[in-house]
Amino acid sequence: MSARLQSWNLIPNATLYWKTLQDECVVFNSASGQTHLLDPISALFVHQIQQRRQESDELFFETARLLECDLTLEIRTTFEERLRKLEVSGLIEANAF
Amino acid sequence: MKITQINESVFLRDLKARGIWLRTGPFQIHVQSPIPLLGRAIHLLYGDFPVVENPEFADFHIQFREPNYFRRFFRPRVHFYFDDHMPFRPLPGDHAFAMFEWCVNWCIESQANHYLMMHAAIVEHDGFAAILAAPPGSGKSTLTAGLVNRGWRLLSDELTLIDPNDGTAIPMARPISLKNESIDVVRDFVSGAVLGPIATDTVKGAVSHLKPPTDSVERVEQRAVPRWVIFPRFEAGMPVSLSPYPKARALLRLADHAFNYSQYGTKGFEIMAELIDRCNAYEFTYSHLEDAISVFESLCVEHVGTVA
Repeated sequence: MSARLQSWNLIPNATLYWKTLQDECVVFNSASGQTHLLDPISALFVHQIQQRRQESDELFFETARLLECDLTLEIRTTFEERLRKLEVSGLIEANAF
Repeated sequence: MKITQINESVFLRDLKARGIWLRTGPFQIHVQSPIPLLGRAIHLLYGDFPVVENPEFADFHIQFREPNYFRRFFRPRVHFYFDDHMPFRPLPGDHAFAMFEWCVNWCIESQANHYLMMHAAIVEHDGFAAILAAPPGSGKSTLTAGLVNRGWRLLSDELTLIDPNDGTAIPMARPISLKNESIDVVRDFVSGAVLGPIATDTVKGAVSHLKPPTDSVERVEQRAVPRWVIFPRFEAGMPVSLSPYPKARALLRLADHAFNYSQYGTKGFEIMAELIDRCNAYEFTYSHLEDAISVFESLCVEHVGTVA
């Protein structure tokens, strides 16, 4: 499936506890018991997914808007990598269609 | 009564017969052993600690025994018993005191889950504590030994205990474990250093313990508020260097040093996050104790300036 059509959820039963320290975020996932360090972009993604914004395209446009940058191919690639890393870390998962 | 006030031969007799109830910070430990080498080392290094004379309770009941009478003459061994169970293999007889220290650490690490526990040294100045978190062999204990003999108070050189209710650090002030080259470094640095027997060929190399400063033991009831989280590293020939370290990363790194962070779940995260939030975090490299101590003194001065 194309990444732009992908949609995302938090891991089921996960409650996230946030702590912002200086310009980085630390998130504790109560479901896994793991603590994650998030850079600002990853934190924005997780926060938006938590707020039910789930489509990749929607996430990318909103994040680019918040960062006041154009959604170029390079930035889109960066965003896709961040989402994949969040998926590997077990904080989010791709929705099955 | 302090251990040092008890005649050594009486102490050895009591230790062998009914055992002694040793108070170290929040823990009361019932120790029993007929091994004179161990008894003398406890009498020497725990001399300023109180023994409980009419004990009603002990957090841990531990014994150190030789396998049998004859074995003391041939490759002597020490067996450790915890509530009459023997959780570890025996060690050579001359490792008795090192084994005692490791086993007390093990008792605390495995039982005292009412505290958030980290493998880190902790020292205090003016009510504020510096947590020194580093893997074994990083020069953490050497640095601790230097600091507590230059105005800092020893809370612990191995185990940082945090009260989950208020985030304060709980002192224990037990002997400082020194390994290999650091034994001579500290012997040279600390005037009148009292060191216990050297256990050679342990899994950590040569190990000896430094008697904690009397003042640290006498103030063991005074808790401290963590103010600095420092990741120290000894590196020969390097100039001393103290660099700010991002707090978020410090939280993860400190959590890696905690024994029971995951057992606390969400509460553990909250305790750790609050602790880091009110601390400054640093990476610290040193090769000479004098330089290292100067940097720590400047941290205190800076902190007093901030508070003022």
